[in-house]
Amino acid sequence: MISTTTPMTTPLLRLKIVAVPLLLSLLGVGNVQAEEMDGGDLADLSLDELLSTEITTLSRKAENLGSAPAAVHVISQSDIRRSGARSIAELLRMVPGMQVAQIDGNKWAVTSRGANGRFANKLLVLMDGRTLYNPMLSGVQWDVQDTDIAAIERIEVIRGPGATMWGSNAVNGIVNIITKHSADTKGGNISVAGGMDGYETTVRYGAEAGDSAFRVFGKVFDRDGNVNMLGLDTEDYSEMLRFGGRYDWDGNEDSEFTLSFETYSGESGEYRISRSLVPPYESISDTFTEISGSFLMGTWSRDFSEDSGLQVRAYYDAHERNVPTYTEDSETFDIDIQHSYAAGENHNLIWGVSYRKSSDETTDTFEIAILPATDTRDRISAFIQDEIGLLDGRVRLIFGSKFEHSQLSDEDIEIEPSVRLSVAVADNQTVWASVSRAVRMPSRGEKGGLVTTSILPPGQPDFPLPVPTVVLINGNPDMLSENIFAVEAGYRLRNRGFLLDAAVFYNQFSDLRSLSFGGPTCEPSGASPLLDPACLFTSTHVVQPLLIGNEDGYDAMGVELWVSKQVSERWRLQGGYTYFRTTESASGTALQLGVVEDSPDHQLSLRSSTDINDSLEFDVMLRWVDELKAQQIDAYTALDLRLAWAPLPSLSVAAVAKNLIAGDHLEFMSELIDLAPVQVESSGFVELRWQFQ
Amino acid sequence: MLKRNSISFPTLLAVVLMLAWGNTVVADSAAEISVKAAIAHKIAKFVSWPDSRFEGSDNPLRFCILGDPMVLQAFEKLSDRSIHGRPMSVMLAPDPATVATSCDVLYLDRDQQQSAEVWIESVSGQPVLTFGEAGEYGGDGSIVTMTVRRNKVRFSIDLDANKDTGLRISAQLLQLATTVDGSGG
Repeated sequence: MISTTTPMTTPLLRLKIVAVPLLLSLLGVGNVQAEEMDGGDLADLSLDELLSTEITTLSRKAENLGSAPAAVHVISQSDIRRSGARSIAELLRMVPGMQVAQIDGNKWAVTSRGANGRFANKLLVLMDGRTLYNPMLSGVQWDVQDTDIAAIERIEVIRGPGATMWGSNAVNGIVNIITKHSADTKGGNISVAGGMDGYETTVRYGAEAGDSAFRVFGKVFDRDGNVNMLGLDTEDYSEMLRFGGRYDWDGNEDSEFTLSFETYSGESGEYRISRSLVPPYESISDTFTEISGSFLMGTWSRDFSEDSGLQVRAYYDAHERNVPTYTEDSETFDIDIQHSYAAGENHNLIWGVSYRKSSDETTDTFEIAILPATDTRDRISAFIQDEIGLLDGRVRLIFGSKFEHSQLSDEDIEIEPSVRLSVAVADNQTVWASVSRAVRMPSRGEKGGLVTTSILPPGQPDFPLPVPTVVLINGNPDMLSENIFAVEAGYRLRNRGFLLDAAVFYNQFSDLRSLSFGGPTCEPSGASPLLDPACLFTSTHVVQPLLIGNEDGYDAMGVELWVSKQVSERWRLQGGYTYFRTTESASGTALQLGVVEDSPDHQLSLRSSTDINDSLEFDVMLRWVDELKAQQIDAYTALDLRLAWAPLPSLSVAAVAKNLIAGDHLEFMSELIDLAPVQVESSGFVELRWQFQ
Repeated sequence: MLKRNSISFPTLLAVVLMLAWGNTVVADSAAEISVKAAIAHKIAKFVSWPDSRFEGSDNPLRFCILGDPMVLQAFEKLSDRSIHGRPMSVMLAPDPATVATSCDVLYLDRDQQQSAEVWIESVSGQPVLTFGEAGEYGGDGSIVTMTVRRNKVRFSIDLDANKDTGLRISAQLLQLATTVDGSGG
């Protein structure tokens, strides 16, 4: 019940319910009312954490300050500032258990708990509750996910399924990026950064008057490309112009309204493999994709009493993407209503309904077509969840389910239930466990896509045909949703400046997307070369279809560890280790095409944050990422450094170096085999930031 | 107190709706007091006092509290935590005439806002870190002003108020403040 008198900053409240109690659970206050909260425990929290701690005027709200029965990590404002990261994907590198790899200058593969890829389809990403998941090719297109990074309040990451609250595609994790309230960004803020990698400028201004506050910002950047496998420059650049704003009205103690918008336009360069039916059939060249989009979102929340709160959120989001091989023009309208109330002393019920209408239009080329070219879909969903506090709140039981109807699913209604339990075994220690089911719905591309994934020239030694062979992935209109059954457990310890967070999981995936060989055809006649080999001599090319099915499956398990130690008042150390492995469980007839679903077995990270003196900060982040076996990408070690100096309260200068040690290195390749590999370079930049009232 | 388990959902909803326009109690809750005390304690770690302020390296950093006894208790719970290697001592603020010499931190609870001016004036230009709360007419002239918005504590820093005190406020702290007023020049 922690959030009833607070703004519900996510459309689906659980993120908040889970994340805020986590911070507080780390106090070791699993059992207490706020009055009994031990001040000594609060002193263990960082200033960032204290500033995100909710205080409520009524004690019974605080009874649920138990521990979160999920693998939660929060990136704080200080983490964001001290990372020197220029993009949201890059920020996620500091989260234990996340698998983050850079594909080129503007594309990323980001997920947790496996199934990584440029179109990683099992991670749901939200910004202030607005979905960033793209239903066309699935996954998140990281090149357009940006904002004024300094206006992000925090990023909450939950690893593991979250479908009970958030619905389909929240299979391996959920990321919610939460931007600051306008009253927290008063005055002007000008940031100029430049270096080996290009430049970036952000200008923001905000003000507050009475109950209202607003901010507006503009941001422009131009980042250079990297290098190919020979070390030669590639044009995987990125340039973008973005404007946005936010208005907040806190009418009275009980009611709040927020309106926000952004609009952007830019280009993402790429080192693309182009394909055609004439020699050389496949060639690599520098091309670019035009990207643009906008959103407008309104959120209204009202607390009817200390026990009951309602939130309504609606948004409209549109984006366009003109890739050399196809174009996409999408619109989404979403409305979401949720209500939470405390029923009795021990129950906290949350329920909600939402409706989403999506429509899109694509144009095709020889290489990619998505049929039908235009499509409109509805998604209707409802969820209910109860949280029960037992034994003075030392034990928390959370259970519920989502019920979701969408044309993308084969089921009339997808049911996504979960049960979670946490026990405060001591004042500063918590154990938790959960069991859940989630689904990943097929994308438009998987249902109706025709994607040329390679062209084999004629006369191959082991495949001696007189004409070229086009390997074509065929979408399957009857593709089913993918299923996950997940069991998780974790342990947390907080003791004076020391923090340990451990999680283990076991996931069973079934009905996973698979590819199998279909019968080849001679084109344009359509005859089968197997029945009528003579057709080869009258055709222009042969098509070898790869049919999408649901024949794949595997079990995944892993361990995620994070420790943090405040060594002294001015020095903090953090370390993370992630172990991940999969075991095939399906028939084995499925093809593993290209580089799909490849995650490192081991990942290690170490961060050191030092305040050298009152105006100097020094940050080090070292990460080691194991090899990617399917893609044959080597393990690498990369070092990021940041030194920041604030000569005046209003002025700061930061020098950042990234990807040292590793040098030019390959991190990931696009699974559609449409891009040639690009090596990420070491880089460095200097940022100047000036704040004024 | 109603035993809510026994009432039906429609009844509950009716009660809840009736309460919808009810008044909210403005008194600080215990949670709010504890969180504010913890934040004040953390903020002190980002501030440096001139060496001349302390006779010995193990002299305590003296927190003086003006306000509700609960506020004093909240600080006392933190008193086993050292700051810059110094122990922390907590006491009620003495009279304005001696506060400048007997306190290193002066914490003014919201209840004290009317008399705040006298206290702030008495430590003006002295190495005393002052905390106050924003009231109807804004801050009370203290260096750090705390407010509660959307159930979270926020703080702003007035560098003009810190002028000539000899206190040094770290850049890390300024980054976390909602607003930084003045230049401290």
